[in-house]
Amino acid sequence: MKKIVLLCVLFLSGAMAEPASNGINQGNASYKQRDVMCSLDELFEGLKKTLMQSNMNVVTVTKENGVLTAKGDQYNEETITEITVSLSFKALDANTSTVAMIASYNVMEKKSNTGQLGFAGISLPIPVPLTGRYAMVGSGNIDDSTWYQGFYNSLDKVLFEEKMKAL
Amino acid sequence: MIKKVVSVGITAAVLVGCGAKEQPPLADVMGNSYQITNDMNQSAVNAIMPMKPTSMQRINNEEIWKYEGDVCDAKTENRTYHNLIIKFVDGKVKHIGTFSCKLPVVAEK
Repeated sequence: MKKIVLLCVLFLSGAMAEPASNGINQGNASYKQRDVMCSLDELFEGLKKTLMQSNMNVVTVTKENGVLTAKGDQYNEETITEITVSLSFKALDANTSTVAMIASYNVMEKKSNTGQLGFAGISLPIPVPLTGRYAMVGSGNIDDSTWYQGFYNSLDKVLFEEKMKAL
Repeated sequence: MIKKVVSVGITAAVLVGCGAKEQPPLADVMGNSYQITNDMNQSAVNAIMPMKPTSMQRINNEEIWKYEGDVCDAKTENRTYHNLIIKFVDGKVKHIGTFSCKLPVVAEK
């Protein structure tokens, strides 16, 4: 009898345990991070070039700490959308590096005296073309995996072109 | 005279309309790129490719030809971005590389 009760307890505890998290789309969002097969220097140059091609201005760079932030504005008829990206990067080994990005936006009315939160439909300013536009209201973090996929596609493209030039 | 102008206009409109649906030759560029081999000269590459490079860059004795753009799959309507780079040294193919990625589509809200 004791054995049966013990088995039941074990079975119930197993059934009630929380399922293992795969880390995707759950706050820590693995789509915001990417491992790339290039050295830290190549990644650093690639990130700067990708941001510049995306019409974003690099605001702060501390290569030693592996931090880079950039800002870019997009103008609509009635609104200005400011996009801020923070990138952290480090070397995993001589030929592999990792990069993580957090992006946020702030939509402002061009008429500053209205005091209202703006609404903007923007397209991602990346060298690789992207279909569709984002509808953004007010301010907040960008948590759409598509946005990050577009950025990392652009980074991959820049890294590929730089590798080809260096051959 | 008016008839001629109208007929030319209609023909142009039809051609433009059809052209919009036609697949760009970039898909053929990617397919034909496998025929390119090292030490091939530029005129031989030109003969293989169905279109001119999107951009050309020359530094000293090196020249880089780039073919880029996106191709839409007629069935799935998925768009794929392609980037083909051919690097010439002294006018002969030294390296060839391709980069492709599926283009993300933002859901309109």
